[in-house]
Amino acid sequence: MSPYLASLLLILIALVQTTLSPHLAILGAYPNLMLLVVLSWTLLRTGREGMLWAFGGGVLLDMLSGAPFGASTLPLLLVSFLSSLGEETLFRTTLSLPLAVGFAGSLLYDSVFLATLQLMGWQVDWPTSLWRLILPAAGLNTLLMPLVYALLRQLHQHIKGVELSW
Amino acid sequence: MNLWRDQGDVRVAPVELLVLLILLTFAGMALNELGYLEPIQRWILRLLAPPQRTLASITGGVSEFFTTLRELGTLRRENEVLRELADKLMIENVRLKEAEAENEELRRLLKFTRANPRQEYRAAEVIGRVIGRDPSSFLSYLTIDVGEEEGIETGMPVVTDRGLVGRVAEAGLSSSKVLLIIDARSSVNALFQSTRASGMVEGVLGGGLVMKYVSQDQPVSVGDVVLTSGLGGNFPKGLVIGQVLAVHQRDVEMFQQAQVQPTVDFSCLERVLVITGFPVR
Repeated sequence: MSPYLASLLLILIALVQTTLSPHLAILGAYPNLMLLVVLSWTLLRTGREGMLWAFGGGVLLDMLSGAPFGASTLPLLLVSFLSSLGEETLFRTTLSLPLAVGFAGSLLYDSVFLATLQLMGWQVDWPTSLWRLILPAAGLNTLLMPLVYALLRQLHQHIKGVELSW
Repeated sequence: MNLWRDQGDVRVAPVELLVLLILLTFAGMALNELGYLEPIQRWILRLLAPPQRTLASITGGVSEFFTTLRELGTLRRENEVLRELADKLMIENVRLKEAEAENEELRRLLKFTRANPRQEYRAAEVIGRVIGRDPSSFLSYLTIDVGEEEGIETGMPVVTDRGLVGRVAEAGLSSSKVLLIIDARSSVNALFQSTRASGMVEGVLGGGLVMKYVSQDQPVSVGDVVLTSGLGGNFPKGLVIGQVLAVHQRDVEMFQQAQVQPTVDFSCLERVLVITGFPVR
């Protein structure tokens, strides 16, 4: 896939994340489309491509966010890398893998996001964050993961074999 | 150099790539701390503002349509309640206008008697359209489509006709980020309209407000209106913040606190006013 096309896609997702996602909020938490896209792409393609998407997407989110730079990039990179460890698994084609990765990835992303904020001197209320935002967001992300995964699988099948190249 | 193809000259292992990208992120964080990323961020925000504005209007319209459908059942009942409220407010408005006129006259007299009348701010308002929200659920920021080109500066208060929204946290060239008062990092010096007891209104993670540091000997009741006190100089005095929903008072604690319902509905903000005439500290 052309890096220019990938960049455009990531920009679009970042914009959707800042405009559409807040309208889908449930219990104060809203879905993290960029996370779902990165996780799905990592599962469908390779860890390398997933991490490049994570880096590009994270930088864009950091630019659009009030959080300090790196707060989104670091957790996205980490969850992308960890989910790529299941690259060779036989369960890759079943629905259970994206669901499990969606749930675990969301929990990890939010935890690392908050930990990064805390390391940068922000005050973080962990118990409240866990119950009010991290868990509802994980549920919401898990529910949406199959949809995002299915959409990206179409794209993956369309460009199958063509790895991200510069 | 070809980093990603199997048959390329150089092939980077996932772990190496992870380390490389994390190092790049750390470098970015360091540059950001030193302020070097700010110009890049401004230009990115400037570039993304037009498509963000377009997307926001599309998603806003779609969301509004579905919200209206969902709320159709309760709209009639709500309408009756609002009608009653409008009547009450109209009466109150007339009374307030009278008070305002009286206040104006007294002020003129006061100015006449004083050699150096107290200087007042005049709010030049810039209307900004909400074009985006923070990508993270943990933070409550808005992006509005006005920036330095329209005279916006960091720290300026942001309001709507319903009350205080927040303040400009970052002013870009043609768009700005607004830190909402419901963000956990926000704190506003406030007072109760009825008793004038002061405290600090802070945002709560996931939305909501709490008024802290209210003296134990001050009576606080549900329904009390909370206003900005003007202390600290970050916000003009007298802006409506919200109403008390619940009071948490324990004798063993030094202060009591109140849960405050903001008057502004942050979930459906479309346009805001930036008070540009207020001296920013």
